[in-house]
Amino acid sequence: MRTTAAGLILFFATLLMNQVASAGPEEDRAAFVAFFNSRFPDIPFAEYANGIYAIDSDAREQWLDIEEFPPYEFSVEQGEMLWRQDFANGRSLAECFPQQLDYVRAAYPMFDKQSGEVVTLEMAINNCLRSNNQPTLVYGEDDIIDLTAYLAFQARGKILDVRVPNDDPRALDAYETGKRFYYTKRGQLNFACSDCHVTSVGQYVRADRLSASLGHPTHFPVYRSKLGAMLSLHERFAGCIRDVRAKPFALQSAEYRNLEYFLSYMSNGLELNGPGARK
Amino acid sequence: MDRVRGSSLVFALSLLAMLTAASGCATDFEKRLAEAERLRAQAAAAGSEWLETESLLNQAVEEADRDNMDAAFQLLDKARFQAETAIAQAQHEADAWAGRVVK
Repeated sequence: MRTTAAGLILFFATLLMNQVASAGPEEDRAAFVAFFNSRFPDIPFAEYANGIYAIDSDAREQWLDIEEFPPYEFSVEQGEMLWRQDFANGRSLAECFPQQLDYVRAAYPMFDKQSGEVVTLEMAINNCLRSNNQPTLVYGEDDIIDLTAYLAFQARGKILDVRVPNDDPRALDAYETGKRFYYTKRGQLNFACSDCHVTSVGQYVRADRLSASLGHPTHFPVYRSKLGAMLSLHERFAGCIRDVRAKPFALQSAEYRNLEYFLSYMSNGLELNGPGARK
Repeated sequence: MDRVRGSSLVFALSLLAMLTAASGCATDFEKRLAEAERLRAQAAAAGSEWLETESLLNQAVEEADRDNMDAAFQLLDKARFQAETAIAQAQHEADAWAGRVVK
């Protein structure tokens, strides 16, 4: 009798937990924004697009100084050159994207109903190259990062507005997979993304403060001063995974694309302000 | 003469015993390596592989190649422990993640 009661309690607890975990994207986003709003009541929503500089006022001063001579400028220029280059068949990257130049970045990540998966800007660029019989670019290398830096720069001021179409259950699946990844502990240190960027947001890890996940995807790619190089969002994901001593996934893997989809949705309504400069 | 013959026999038997032990050790290593690799792959399939597990397995093979079997087995045990813990972590997280969702 006692066993049956315990079983019933467990069943309803699991049901409740699943319901909470599978609230719709818009409910998730509202709760996410409300969390940061309550943690940092003095920080306006729009400020989260600036990442850690929304929270860390000392680092913000240094960042504003760096922005006087943006270290990502060279990357943007290289990206423009690559964007304008004609393929051997006379076509170009621009012809693959139906949007106006300043809206290309804002269209990604998107759920592609044809392939049934999340397509990122980097992936769309490579798809375009492939369909024009051009060699594809290696994720994480300069050319693809420069192209995304150029497109991010063009999109500055546009509002992030990622959609999870409700007429295709695979889109919600991709979103939920990204969300699950975000909240799952992994690695030898047993950390989830949320442990640092939600639960401990604003706290110090050695000399650095932990940034809020709200706004993370708005400013990539970024120039990392400590690396002296540009860094893509997926490389940043891989860095975090490595930091918790788990084996990173491949750049542009389904795991990272779904994570980007979820995180981007969480940041809907914020301005795109890439490329960025970070310590 | 008999004493010499007797010594030779003892030597031959000792050599045989050593070779058998060495070969048994190598076979045992191969078996345990395969098992640790299977567990590592299981952790990877669950998306939960730890950073060093593969490298520990590679180092174990290198030590075995150098005939440093004590070091090889130690590395193998470490890798196996990591893989098993990563699998347990993934199993625990199958439900636990939901409790962390901001609501």
